[in-house]
Amino acid sequence: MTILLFGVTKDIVGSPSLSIPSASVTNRKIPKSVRELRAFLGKSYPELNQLSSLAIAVNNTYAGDDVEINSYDEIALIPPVSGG
Amino acid sequence: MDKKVKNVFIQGPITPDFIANAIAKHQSKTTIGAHDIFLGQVRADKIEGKNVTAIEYTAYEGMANQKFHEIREATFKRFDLTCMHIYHSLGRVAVGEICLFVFVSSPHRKEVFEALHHVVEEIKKEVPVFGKELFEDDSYQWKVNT
Repeated sequence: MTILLFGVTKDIVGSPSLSIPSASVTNRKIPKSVRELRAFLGKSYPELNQLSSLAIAVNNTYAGDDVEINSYDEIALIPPVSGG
Repeated sequence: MDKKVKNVFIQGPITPDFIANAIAKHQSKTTIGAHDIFLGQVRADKIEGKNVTAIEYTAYEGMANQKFHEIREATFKRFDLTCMHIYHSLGRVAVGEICLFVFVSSPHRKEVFEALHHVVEEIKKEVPVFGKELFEDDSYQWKVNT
């Protein structure tokens, strides 16, 4: 599962995208919903929890916590926006 | 009408010439009686004693263009508009330069005032564009829309 990163999230993670191994080689639970992904990322990168907002987009749409995610979905972290 | 998702992004600042041309192109559309234009300009903010010299814009382009498209469609449904154009910069835009150009046209003025306000507020809130404020000493901070 690949997570696209934008804005300050790119700085926090230190790369433009993040791979979460989908095979259970690591013996860690793979996030299956936006809520689980949020928890997973917050644990791995505590700085993400400090942002004033952090939206998660699934297939180009802002997704609520209950939305299920799969490895073929396009997933992105959207920190506070600042267009215009 | 036009349901295709357009590319809203322009590399670098939006020039006064580009804006003038956009106005000129509408002179043949004679059902229009009112235009309204919003221009976002990069402000020389002073933050903790440091001056902003430019904003560098990046975007989640695919989703941003999709969002711009949704905002357009919803605005056309809500207001009686003849046409609407949105352009946003990517990359470096220096203070004093234009980074957002929204242009709405209608037979009458009331619609354009309201529609423009609506479109700009939606853009500021919804579209995944990220501005990095660059300071004179090469440091930066990520801007947050309020």
